[in-house]
Amino acid sequence: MRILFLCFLLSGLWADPVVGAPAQETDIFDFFEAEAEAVQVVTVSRLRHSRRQAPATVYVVSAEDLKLSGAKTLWDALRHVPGVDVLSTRTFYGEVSIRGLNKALSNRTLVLMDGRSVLDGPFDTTFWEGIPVVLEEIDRIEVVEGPASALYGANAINGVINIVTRTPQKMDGGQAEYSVGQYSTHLASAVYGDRSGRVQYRVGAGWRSTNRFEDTSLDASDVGKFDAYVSYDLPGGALASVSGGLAEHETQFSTGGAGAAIIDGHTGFLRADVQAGQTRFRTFWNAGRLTMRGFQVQEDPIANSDTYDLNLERTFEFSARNQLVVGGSYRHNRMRSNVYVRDRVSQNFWALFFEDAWRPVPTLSVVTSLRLDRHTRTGWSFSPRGSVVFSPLGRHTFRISAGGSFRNPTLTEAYMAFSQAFQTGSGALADNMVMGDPNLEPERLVQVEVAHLGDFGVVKTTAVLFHYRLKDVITATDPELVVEALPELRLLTPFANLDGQTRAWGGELGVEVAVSQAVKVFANYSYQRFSGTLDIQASENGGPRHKFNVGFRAQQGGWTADVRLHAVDRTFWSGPNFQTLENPFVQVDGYVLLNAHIGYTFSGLLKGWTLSTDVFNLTDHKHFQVLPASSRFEPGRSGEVMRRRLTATVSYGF
Amino acid sequence: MRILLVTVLFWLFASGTGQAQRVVAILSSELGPYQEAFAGFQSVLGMPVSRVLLAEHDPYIGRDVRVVVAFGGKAALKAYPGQVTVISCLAPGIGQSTYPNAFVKVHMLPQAPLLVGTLRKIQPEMKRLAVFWASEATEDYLEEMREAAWAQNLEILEEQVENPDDLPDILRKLIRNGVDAMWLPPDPLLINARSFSVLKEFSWANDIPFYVPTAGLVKKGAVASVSCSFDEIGRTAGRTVRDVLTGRSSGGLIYPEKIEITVNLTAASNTGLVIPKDVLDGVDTVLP
Repeated sequence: MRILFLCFLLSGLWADPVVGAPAQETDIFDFFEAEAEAVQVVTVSRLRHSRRQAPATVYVVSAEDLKLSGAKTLWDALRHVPGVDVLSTRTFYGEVSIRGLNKALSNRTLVLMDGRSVLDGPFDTTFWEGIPVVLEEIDRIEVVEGPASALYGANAINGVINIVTRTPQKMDGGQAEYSVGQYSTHLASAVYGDRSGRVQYRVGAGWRSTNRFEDTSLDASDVGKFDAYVSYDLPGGALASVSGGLAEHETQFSTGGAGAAIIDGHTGFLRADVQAGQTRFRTFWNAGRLTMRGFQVQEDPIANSDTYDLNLERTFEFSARNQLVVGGSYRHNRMRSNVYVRDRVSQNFWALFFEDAWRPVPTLSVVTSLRLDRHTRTGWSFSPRGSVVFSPLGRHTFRISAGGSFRNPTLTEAYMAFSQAFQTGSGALADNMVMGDPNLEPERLVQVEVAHLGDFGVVKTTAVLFHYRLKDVITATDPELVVEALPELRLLTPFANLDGQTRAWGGELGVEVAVSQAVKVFANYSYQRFSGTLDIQASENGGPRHKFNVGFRAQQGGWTADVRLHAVDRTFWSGPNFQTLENPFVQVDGYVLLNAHIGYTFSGLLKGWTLSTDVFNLTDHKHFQVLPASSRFEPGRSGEVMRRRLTATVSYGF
Repeated sequence: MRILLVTVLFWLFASGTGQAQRVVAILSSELGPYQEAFAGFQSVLGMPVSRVLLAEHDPYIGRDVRVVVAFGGKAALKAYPGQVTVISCLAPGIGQSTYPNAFVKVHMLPQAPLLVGTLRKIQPEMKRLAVFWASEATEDYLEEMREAAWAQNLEILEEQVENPDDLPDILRKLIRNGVDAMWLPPDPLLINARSFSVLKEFSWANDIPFYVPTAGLVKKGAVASVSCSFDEIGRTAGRTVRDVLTGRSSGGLIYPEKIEITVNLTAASNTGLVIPKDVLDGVDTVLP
């Protein structure tokens, strides 16, 4: 009988029967929210579209991609996206540009966090590590390729990257994570979000520190950040929210030809939103209090900037198949710096915009957008965009779109008067004056693209062809010798609009395959070819002509593994020589970057705990992504060698 | 004799385990509706089934697995080996699999004629019913509703809601066009606390009864639901598993047979609706 009893017991264990657990009391809205969590794309349009029906090329990096790829920085998480150029100029500093023309202090891609611009005041560039958000708060990153000024105004010249954070209700709990790794890397973060009645709240905090690949005794980056969000459900279905964040950062970055420096200071924001019916109002204040240390100048440049922004828009529905959004915005940029012609400068922007989405038949949609921007000094800018999306067969979607965009001169390009001292080969002191020009015209871009999206069940494909023309390129030109100053050696590096135009052709091909339930693979290839007049701060060939990404992900039980290979073609960068006063283009070899992740999530008693290991540059392929300095007279583009960095992470979800 | 008994029991349990391994149940999360449906599913199936919570880890689907029962959209949208038939339930936003597996969808709603007919019994004077929808997965059911309504001399006013923020304007338009009642399908892109609040307040303020697809929403202030319980949906999934394993079903759309009517008398009163007594007598749950 004991044997019989034992058999019962064993068979019970073997069969692992699971009786239906008693249903817990669940708010029915939690159920519908869980079901609505399919990826929705919002950045590509003010109206909501599925990725296939979107009026522009859009890629989404999900929270799962972020977590499983092992990326420790936002720019590393974007490397596999077709058409996106990522440059690690220094150990922990990245530049991102869409469809070419990437450079130090990249300023042709608009980066948003939940629709709020995170571009800094002086350069209109993105200090990625200074964004007050921790990776665990991010729901997804949407990458919209092509001109988007018709929606977002200046700077969305060749694309938009929108970091979308998770709602507190979706977060429904917290997570704490700590990574330790080579080069004294310590990355710690904690987030928590929840809903309590009508109130939703979320807080996040992080501390990130790592040392340099080149000199392991020096900090590459040391950042602390905090952010918070609170919303309240108002009567009548309205929603009001307030959020804010602060990042204290000290990160080494490349200024391009002016050497490497350290951003030291803090950036922060305060934001308020109200949504009532079909009307949405948003206002925010971005503040930066930064000092650039490490230049060969008499005093460190200080850049204190403030941006105030108001945006109001409303949706009108003429029929179920035709919706119109209209709105307007106002922005005031103010900046105080000791390296500007005038101590304090400001700019005002006004804008009116509309977008109409018309779907006459289920297989066809037409989206038209138009935006009119008024800038204090450059006057009116007109940005149209149109797109026709045709889905004659369920598995195939065709799209043709065209649009124009613009970029206003930054405060630095307009007002800088920056004097950099250097020593010539003979030992004499010389001076290079970088001068802004308040009469600069905006850069303007026109682009046409055609695309095909295929959805064949386990196989999904993307094919895009584009052509754009960029004119009135704003750039710091080659240093000129100031003859009048001889025998004292003085150089002048003015910002100017270049004559002629940049012409670019290119395309992206991508395929994603769900090989099995446990294994997914992807591969994509990007090609771009440039001609005409190019920004000399960018690569002479506009960027890598070929870029190839391939990766696979496997999940089995609690194990996850992710391997990504990025093969990037060579580039050519201008490298000023302060001895010969020449500015030749120098090749930076192509490189292959292999990143890997392996992790294990525990169940049972250790439920909630995850251990993982991530490797950046697994093969330790020592390479540069921009031109390094070859001597103190030839700063190149201030590139730093990339090495392998191994990190181990423990995280706990609660 | 004892050895014989042990041997027989061993084979019985061994074969039971083998059967269980042919079916795997995957729950998108621990939310109550998924668990209720799973309990119903297991009670019908009558054999132990491996249960995996997707929120904890990805399931391992062995070669011997023939059927995956996916509770929720996340589970339904996972990629499964080609030999697996996916039975999807409680995934109202999912129309079909994106993978080439055989796919069966257990609907959250009763068949359209039954739904329309029951709503008509609750509100006999109803002539024009507004139906809101957002996700493409809802479109097929609307087609069936149109046919059912036509047969019962009822006009359906379809309102596609691209953005829940658009609801107030859509509702104002309904007032102008005239409407007797509103019905909300189980559309996850549409149903949330805010949109529900807008609809409820509009319903109560304008005396337009508002019907919903789950009893849970009736508790929140809708007038009534004609729906299938989560338990019944799970039971239907269990019966479908049997059909698939015995070759009697290979794909398609399955409707639960048993419906559940829930009425909120306060909401009915606030919208000026008087429900016929004979209907009230047949209601499963009456909320005061």
